[in-house]
Amino acid sequence: MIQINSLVTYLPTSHGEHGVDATLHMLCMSGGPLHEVFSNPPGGSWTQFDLIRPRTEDVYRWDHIPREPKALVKRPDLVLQLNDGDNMNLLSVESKLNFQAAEENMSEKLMRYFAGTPEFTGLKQKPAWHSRKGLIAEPEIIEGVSATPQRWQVLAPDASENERYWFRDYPEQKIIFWSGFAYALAPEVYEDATTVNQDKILREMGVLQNSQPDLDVVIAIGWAGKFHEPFILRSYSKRFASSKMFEGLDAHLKPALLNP
Amino acid sequence: MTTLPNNVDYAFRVYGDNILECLILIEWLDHSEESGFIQQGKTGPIDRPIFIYKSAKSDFSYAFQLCPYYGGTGRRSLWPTDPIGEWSAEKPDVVVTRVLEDGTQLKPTLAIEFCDALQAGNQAWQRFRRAYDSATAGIPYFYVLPLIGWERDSGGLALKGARYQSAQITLAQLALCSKLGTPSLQIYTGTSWVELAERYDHPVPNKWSEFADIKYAVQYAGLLLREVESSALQQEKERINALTPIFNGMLQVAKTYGKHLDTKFTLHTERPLFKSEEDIEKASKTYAQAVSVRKPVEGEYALHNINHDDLKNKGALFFKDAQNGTTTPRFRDGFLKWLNWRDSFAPDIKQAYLEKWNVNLSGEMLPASIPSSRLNEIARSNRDKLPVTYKEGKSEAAFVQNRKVLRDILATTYPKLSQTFLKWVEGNNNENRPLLTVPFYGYKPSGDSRPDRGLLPNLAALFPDLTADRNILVVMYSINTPKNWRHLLSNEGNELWNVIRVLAGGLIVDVTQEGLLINDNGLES
Repeated sequence: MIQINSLVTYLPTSHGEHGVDATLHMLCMSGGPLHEVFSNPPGGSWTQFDLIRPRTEDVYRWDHIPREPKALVKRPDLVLQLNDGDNMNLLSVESKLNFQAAEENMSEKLMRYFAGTPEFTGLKQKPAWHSRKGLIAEPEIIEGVSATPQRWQVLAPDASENERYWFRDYPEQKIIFWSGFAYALAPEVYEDATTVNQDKILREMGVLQNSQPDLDVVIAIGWAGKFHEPFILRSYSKRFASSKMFEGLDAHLKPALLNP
Repeated sequence: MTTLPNNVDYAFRVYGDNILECLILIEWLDHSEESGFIQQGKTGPIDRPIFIYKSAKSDFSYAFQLCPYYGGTGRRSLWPTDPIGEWSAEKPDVVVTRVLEDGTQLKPTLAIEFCDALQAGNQAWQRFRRAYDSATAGIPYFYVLPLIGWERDSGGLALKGARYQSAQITLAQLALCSKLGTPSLQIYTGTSWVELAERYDHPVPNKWSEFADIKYAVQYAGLLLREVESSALQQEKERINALTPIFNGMLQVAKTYGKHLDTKFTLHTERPLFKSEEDIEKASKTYAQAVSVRKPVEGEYALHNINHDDLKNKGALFFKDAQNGTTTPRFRDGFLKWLNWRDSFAPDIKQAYLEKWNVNLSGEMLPASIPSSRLNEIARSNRDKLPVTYKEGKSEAAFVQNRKVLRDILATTYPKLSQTFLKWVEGNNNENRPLLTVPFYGYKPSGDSRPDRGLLPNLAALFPDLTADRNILVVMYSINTPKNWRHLLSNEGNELWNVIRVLAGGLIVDVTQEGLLINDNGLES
């Protein structure tokens, strides 16, 4: 017989950006109000976005999206969606291995992935290439790789504009873009979560938000205890803290929040 | 953390490039009807959960511990124990290893590579070392990829061409199965693009909807992971049932795309296993039966035993394109020119080529003015003397049958080569195998070229008998090849050079005009 405890004590030598992305992905996929549009941890080649069209349960897919857009544009590492009536909330998150890796103007660069620039066709301008009717019952990582692939329909060039370009034509004022930055703490691992200097970390997050006021969400992740359980500290902009997206995100993060 | 179950009968670690790769295996297992596993719940840290299962077929319990930080293209792993270590030079996306009570990890039970990228050019073989190493180590390998993809323009606004499987990869994996009896499988996903391809009358393999389904891979993976549960005989039957449709798909794909456009793999696709639909059905079962007990395929459907006679009878004349901007005139005019044939070449070039390879033109009425079409006929009727390859159209490597002529070409073009080296090229009296000669680009201006790393393993898989004992000459020709290549080759820190070191017997580097012999004990100038 194999003791489960003997497995849990088998630990990675470090966590870094992998740990950040894995923690957020698992929390977002464990049930809750938000839909994970896109997740791209290091070492992945995921190039598809799945958006839910408001007021319907139809999912639209953009596949083979560019991996390395040009300068001034940042492909998010995580995109979350919450539809609220006609309003579409989209939170794009950039994740890094530590706080120092934060770049300037992250919010702007993340937004441009959707909006585009003169040199880069944003996702919003591209047609969707697939659709399926009804919400995804189970998350599917790559079309067809799951054992029972969802029934996607290809949206060929002769499909209706209303289907292919609904996102492009969706009223700007009804799409609410949010941006976030997630990072691993340094040091990453704490003997006990109670030893974490929360004030210091929250101050650090505040400094970042002051310097980048458009950044709505900052998430810091560390690991504590002999099994290296991940824990989360977060800081939100005032605008975000009064939004429905805030409630949704906090519901997902709750199992790991150090300061609920 | 939720309450931990105390123990399980068997435990596996699921190493993946990242959490998403690991979770695909869990998705597979959660299809209980196919996998034979029933999930009981999960425990452990949020970012590295342990999934607990019961067998649907027995009372055994299992744990699958996700170890998601194993990624990257190098050897570095963030886990204390390297799951692939001695077995593979590169990391497949997912490696599943069994853990014993004392914490020891066994040789991987299976390895999976997921590819959602468009199949394009040499991108197809860039990962082939993973397939090759897994097969030679006896590790079942699943290469999971969409049956058809579709290229878009750079803005993602308009469709360009459909992209199909490269039969060269499928055939090489089939040949690995045939030679070693190790499962090296391609698992096709029938994405919505396939339906569009049908609508546009693009070539699609026969009965694709019957095999382009992940469920057979899930069945087979489940059997591998639950190996301890049933008798060897029962396992064998179930494995054959799961493997037969997988091999049927690989054979259908190889047949369809092995004769596609101007690329035709006649050496392979004219073998008996592709002769008719009935042969494909029979061959699928033959491969499934052999691989289910890890035995080589024997008889007429074997694909690993292509020999010199096959080259003489069905080899294609060789042509490789090389750009002036990345090659030296020495390489182009002193070496490649004597390997390359095209029917469209000018008659004087073709005639010089034929004479170089000792094709007797004296029977022709006026050798100086032989018509171009006649030269084409002469070349084909003398293919047993000429450099030949495995596919019509552009190719990557030539089997040089007249090694003495190749020796003379190299001696003239690369005068620094030692007599020992040239003697190896010529072969000894007992050596009548053609020498697989690979003009190897290797380096883009930006650094090493990942796709080329998979080329030699791909060729070694396609032609195990013809390439055995390092019967491969590599001519590294990019002008961007670093001058310190000997150091790179010796210190074993670069997978491009490592793969040459592992498989080739001779290496020439054009930029320094030097060459050396490689054997299992080291290097020799």
